[in-house]
Amino acid sequence: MNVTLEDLRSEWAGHARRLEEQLRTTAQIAREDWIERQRERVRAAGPFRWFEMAVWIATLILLGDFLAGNAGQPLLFASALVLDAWVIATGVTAIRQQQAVRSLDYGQPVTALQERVEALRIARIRAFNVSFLTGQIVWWIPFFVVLVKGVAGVNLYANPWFVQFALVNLAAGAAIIPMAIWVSRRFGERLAKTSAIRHIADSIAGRDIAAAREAIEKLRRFAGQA
Amino acid sequence: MTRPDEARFAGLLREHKAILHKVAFTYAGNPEDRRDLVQEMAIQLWRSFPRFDGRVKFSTWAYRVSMNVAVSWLRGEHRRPRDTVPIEDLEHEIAAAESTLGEASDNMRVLRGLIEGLDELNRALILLYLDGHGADEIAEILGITPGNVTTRVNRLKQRLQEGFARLEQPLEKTA
Repeated sequence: MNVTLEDLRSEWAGHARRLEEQLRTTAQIAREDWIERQRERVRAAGPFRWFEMAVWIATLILLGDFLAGNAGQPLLFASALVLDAWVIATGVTAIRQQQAVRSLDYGQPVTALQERVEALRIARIRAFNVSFLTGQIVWWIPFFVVLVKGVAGVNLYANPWFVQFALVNLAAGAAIIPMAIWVSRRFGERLAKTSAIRHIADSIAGRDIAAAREAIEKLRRFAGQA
Repeated sequence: MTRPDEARFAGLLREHKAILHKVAFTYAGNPEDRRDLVQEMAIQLWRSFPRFDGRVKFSTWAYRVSMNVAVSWLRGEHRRPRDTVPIEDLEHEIAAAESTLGEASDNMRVLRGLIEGLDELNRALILLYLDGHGADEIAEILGITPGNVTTRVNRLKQRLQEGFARLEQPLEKTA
């Protein structure tokens, strides 16, 4: 038996013709109710999901209120300011990334769009890594201090043990960064029982970025640019 | 999208929906995944339609959108947990595609096996070639030069022939 691709092409054409004939008798996609559902779905998904937006705005308002109420206490004010800057930066980055994803034109040629998708993936992983790793420092002391003051009214900076507490926590927070990178690289695949943990481990270890770079190289090779 | 645009989109999609099923069949291995993928492609076409300016044929544009969704889907970018994706009532269409493309001959089964061994870009290339598109149109859809298309199709022909030869060898021995 000597089958050529041309033989298969004509056989495929027969199947494709029959498929088109059969699909003509059905009209499910693009019916009026289908379109209505898609319209509702697009309307429901804003540039930043409503719940996330509400939480983000509420956090900013609370932090703003805290800053105004503690303007005379430089240490508390500075802690809240660091936290505020982190929340604003991560929120704005998330909004910009979601807008970038929404602006993708899927009608572009495949190699062009896929290269853009991979570039966005790299940007997204880098942003996640920065927010995750800097978060280890921001969330350990400033958040704890602001939370205790905001909820219980206790100023931890006035506590005689604060310096020791801060040093231990700062050291632990700073140690988490290289440790997270090392653990992700060394044990990421074994530790990752769920895809979410795996994604975090792959992101921190830099495997996702390497995979995205490899995909870009492959696309360029396919397009004859590399 | 305005109502007249929606009506125009619906008409064009109805006319070209076989593209979605053929792309899904090339990229997804089981009927559930194909159904999800057809749905993802249809949604993306609907979302992207306001940007369709008619500079290329609707079918060219639909192939681009569908293949971009399928490639992203294969790489895991588009894959969502199935329970969060409302399954539209596409059963009749999926069944039609399954019965037509599924009642394949031995040759088509072997071809599909070989397609599954290709990466996502070569899958797009071979599908467009099988679908009867010329080098210029394939180039327009994939974003590569027509010369590159011809070279790559020739390589695929050779690869597929080698694949057939390998598959035939044990059969010939047992015959």
